[in-house]
Amino acid sequence: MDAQLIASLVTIVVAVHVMLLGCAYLILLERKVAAWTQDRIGPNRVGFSFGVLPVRHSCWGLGQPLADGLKLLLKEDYTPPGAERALFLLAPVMVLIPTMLGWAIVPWGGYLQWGGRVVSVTAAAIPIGVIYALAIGSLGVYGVVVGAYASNSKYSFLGGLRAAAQMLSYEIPTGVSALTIILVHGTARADMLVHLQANGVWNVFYQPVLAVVFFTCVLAECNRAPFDLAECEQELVGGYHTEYSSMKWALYMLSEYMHMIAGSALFALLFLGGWDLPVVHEPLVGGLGWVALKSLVFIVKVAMLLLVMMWVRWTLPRFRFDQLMRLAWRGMIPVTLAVLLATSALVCLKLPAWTMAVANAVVAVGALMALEWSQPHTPENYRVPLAGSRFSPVR
Amino acid sequence: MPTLSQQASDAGLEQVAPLLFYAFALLTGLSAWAVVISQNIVRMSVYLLMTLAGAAGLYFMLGAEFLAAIQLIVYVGGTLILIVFGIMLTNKSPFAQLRTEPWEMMLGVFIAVVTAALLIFALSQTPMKAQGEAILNSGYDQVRAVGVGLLTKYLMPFEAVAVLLLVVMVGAAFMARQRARK
Repeated sequence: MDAQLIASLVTIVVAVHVMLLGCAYLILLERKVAAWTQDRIGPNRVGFSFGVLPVRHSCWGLGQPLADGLKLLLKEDYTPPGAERALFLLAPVMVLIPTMLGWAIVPWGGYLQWGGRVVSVTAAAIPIGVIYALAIGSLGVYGVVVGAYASNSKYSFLGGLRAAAQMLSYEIPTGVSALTIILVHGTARADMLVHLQANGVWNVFYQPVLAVVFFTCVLAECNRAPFDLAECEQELVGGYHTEYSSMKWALYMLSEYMHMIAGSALFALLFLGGWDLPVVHEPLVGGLGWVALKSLVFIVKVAMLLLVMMWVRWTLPRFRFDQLMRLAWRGMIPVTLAVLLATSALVCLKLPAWTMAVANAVVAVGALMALEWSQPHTPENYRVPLAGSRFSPVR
Repeated sequence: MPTLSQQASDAGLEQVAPLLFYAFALLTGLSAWAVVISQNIVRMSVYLLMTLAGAAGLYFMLGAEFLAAIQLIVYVGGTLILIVFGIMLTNKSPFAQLRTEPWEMMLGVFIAVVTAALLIFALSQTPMKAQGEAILNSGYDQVRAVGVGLLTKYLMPFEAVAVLLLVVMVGAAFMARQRARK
């Protein structure tokens, strides 16, 4: 067998197992972060004894994910009588698969030199790296829509349509931001993007506006608060997974966390220099020690981003649906397009890279001024005339 | 670093390639058949999704990664719009059954036979293996080649398509607005 094939297989096996276990503990971490934000203690009782084993210590609640998983497996797996059985079964899988395929291009540790051979520590080091990740990311919304339709429930259906509109809208600024980074570096290869940042300055300093937009879009595409309109309890019960129970519901939850990891990894490699550690000068090709160090740096960056996501979730209140769509179509898409145009002009004129940061600042100031100018100057909250609403002037 | 990347992306796919090809070809063919015989619009869209995704997989195997990614973004993304619009904008309920008239079936068979004949003729005229190997071995950058091509040699068709899309979008927005006013 080929050396690269072996390296890819090892990377896939390790990454999938680490991620699946990581997802379980991310859910525990989320509950802990929620508790800290709300001045509670959070889950701290379930250890590894489960009432049977002779472990006395509660292990700081680290047994909670195992207990949760067991509970979900033992719950009744109910399919509503009116559902489309085949699609109902297929939908959670259709959500899960794209989120796992998206990791294929993440360059965990650059290149490994092993006995005269050089292999890439990536599942698939394909030339179009980042574009592939975006393409796969656009498939995630199918499972949501199909699951919502197959449930044959009005709440699910409305939740699914909301989720589809939201995810499709936020894909556009994501794509334009990634495109701008590709334009600056002249390559879409994930490992090359990281390598070019490692030798220079991280993109987050050159393109701060794009970084903010991209991070917000990742939040929106994961359907996470403040963008979790699709499962808004007050209006839609449980959203698109209202009718799902047991392990099928757990797959939806799991895929949300996997989507978060994939989005954070993409953000880290596009804007935070991937496996680059600021002071240390890492070579692109290194031995096992270098690969381990670089993978660790990458994973720490992803973990920090995940923590920020949780922090945001438990801090900010939820948007209203029209505010959400307005943010995407009137806010982010024009801003990203302006940054794209400015950056392409700078790249075309071969100006030094720091001018991109200036262009970003100009665009940000312009956007803020446009916002200030376009908003009505009334003390009360600006109400959209939503036909049919109780508060609406339009009847 | 072209040498390094070539060395690293030189994955040993030879052993599994035929299996993957048959898997993707089977997925594409069977789900295309299912699109035709299905009567429920949402199921049709799901089968169409599988067809297009299978074709994207075949593109990946042929080394045309950029085309595959664009297939996923444009067509597969477009199918989703089709599902949503099929449900929302048709007057029928999403569980309605679609019936095909006999003359529609005749027309469909006629178009299918003509298209297949045209494609088979075109394929038999193209020295695919020689050309493909020459392109793959030249180690060129797909994204760059497509971009340069669109902005130099094929600029006119590119612009014409862009204008057409713009017109369609404006028209759709106009029609939707008229409908909302009523």
